[in-house]
Amino acid sequence: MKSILLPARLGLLGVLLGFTLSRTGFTSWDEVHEMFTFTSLRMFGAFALAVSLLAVAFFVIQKRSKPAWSPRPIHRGTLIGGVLFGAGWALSGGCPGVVLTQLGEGKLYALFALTGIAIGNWMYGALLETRLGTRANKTATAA
Amino acid sequence: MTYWPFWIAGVALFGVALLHWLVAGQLMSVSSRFSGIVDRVRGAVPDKIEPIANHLGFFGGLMLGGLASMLLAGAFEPTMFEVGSSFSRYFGDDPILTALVVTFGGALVGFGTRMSTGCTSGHGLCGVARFQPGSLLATCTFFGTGVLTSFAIEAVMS
Repeated sequence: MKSILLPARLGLLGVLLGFTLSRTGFTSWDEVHEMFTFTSLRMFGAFALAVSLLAVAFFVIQKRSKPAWSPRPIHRGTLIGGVLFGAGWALSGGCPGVVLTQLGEGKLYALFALTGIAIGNWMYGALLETRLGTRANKTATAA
Repeated sequence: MTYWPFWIAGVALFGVALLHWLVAGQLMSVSSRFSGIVDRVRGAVPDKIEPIANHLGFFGGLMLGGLASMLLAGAFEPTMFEVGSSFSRYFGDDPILTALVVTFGGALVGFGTRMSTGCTSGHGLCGVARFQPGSLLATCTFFGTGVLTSFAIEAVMS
């Protein structure tokens, strides 16, 4: 029963995230470009507010229930991976969650971004991940 | 469509990320779900802890969320190559160039998020909020590079 319920719960969470990404403007190439060129600080402000509120919430959760959250240390892929992701985000207008939301919105050019993400993910996983030792710690709470 | 002001958008993003932990018992991260599916497809290391149904459920939800948003706004008009007015100003309206730019950008996103082991949700929201060093460095880097790349697009393509 639990194995059926979790995908359904995650589906509902996906709906909420997709709706939110759409209404915040993260699914719009133009809005993302305005954010990155400081033409509008609205989305930077939204992101900063969300992180600030989450920091308080996670602090309380950690104090009360001590969850087994995996650490995210700096490793050999952190910096270069971040550089590549940022450049790709500015070019494609989408980070991974955004691309799927764009498809639901009817922005079918996201199929190209989705294909690119799959190719890039595949290439790094197949060619470099083991060699550089950057594999993510796959636990239920780590992502 | 009129976008939410920053404070509604911020509270909504916070709410979804917090709910993800409270309802699913996992910290939100989308790129790791991509990795889970890609690994499964290429027959690499099977992800025993996270069944593929979880990834597909979440991804299906993301699509439905986008669809619901557009339908409620009365703005659902599927298009193939219309990325945006700014995009067209820089890159034109040629479908092939559009496909190449977006695919190349997507490939950098896929490669980079897997290399840095996280994306906007895993590093940017949930990692930075826990003051994780890897997330702080990755987030500063991908936002910084996004800024530099966007200014470079403006300078070179205008």
